[in-house]
Amino acid sequence: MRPVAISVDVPAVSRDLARKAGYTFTILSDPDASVIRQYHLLHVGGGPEGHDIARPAEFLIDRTKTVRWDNFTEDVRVRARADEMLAAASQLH
Amino acid sequence: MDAAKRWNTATIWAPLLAIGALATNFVFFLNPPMQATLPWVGLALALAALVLLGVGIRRAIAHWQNYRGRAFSVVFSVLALIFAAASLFIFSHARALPKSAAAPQVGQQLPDFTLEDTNGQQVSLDSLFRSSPGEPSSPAPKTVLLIFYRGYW
Repeated sequence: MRPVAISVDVPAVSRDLARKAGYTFTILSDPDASVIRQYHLLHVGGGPEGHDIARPAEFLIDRTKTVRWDNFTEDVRVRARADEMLAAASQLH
Repeated sequence: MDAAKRWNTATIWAPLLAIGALATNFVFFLNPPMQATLPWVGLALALAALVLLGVGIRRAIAHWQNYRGRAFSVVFSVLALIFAAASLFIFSHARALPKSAAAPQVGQQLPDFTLEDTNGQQVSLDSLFRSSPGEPSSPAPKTVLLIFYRGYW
């Protein structure tokens, strides 16, 4: 399973985040939220100073790009746990 | 004579419960199991704090001469109100998320996209299923976990 993170942060900000947190997985930038909008994940005014951002969501997709598992949290404080996501992924392998 | 006076305990418990409600926000960072219940624990503590605050105020008004430490009770009551209100504000703000009803569902095929990675490379969704360029001998991933996050960390 390959984790890939996406947000409106520009690559420089994501690079900084990855360096500080020690992340080695791929982080992609969607600064005008075009993909976020395409996936209907836009949170209008959800960011600081009213910026449009993505609402938190995870999708596990297979090689045909079909969604096999998803998670839409109702509370930004509740994050999907790594063991839940790994369990979902292991059922597909 | 102060002998018969007692403490208005409801006004002591109210701020403690309200602090407990605020404290649940820090428990999230410990990533515990069943963390989906934490918001409701926090809400229950905040509401319980407000109930006790009301009880304490009622008792104070009806029998003020029976209670000692009245100045403390006033301070504790104000703190309870502030902390409980803060906890309720955090609760509603953290859950103010769009419904995203049209977002991709299980079984749906995602359209391709191309976005820039941290190295300035244009990366397509299809390419994510190929071996990492830096590790050509590693197996190609069978699944990709797309993690959309808020950013601005």
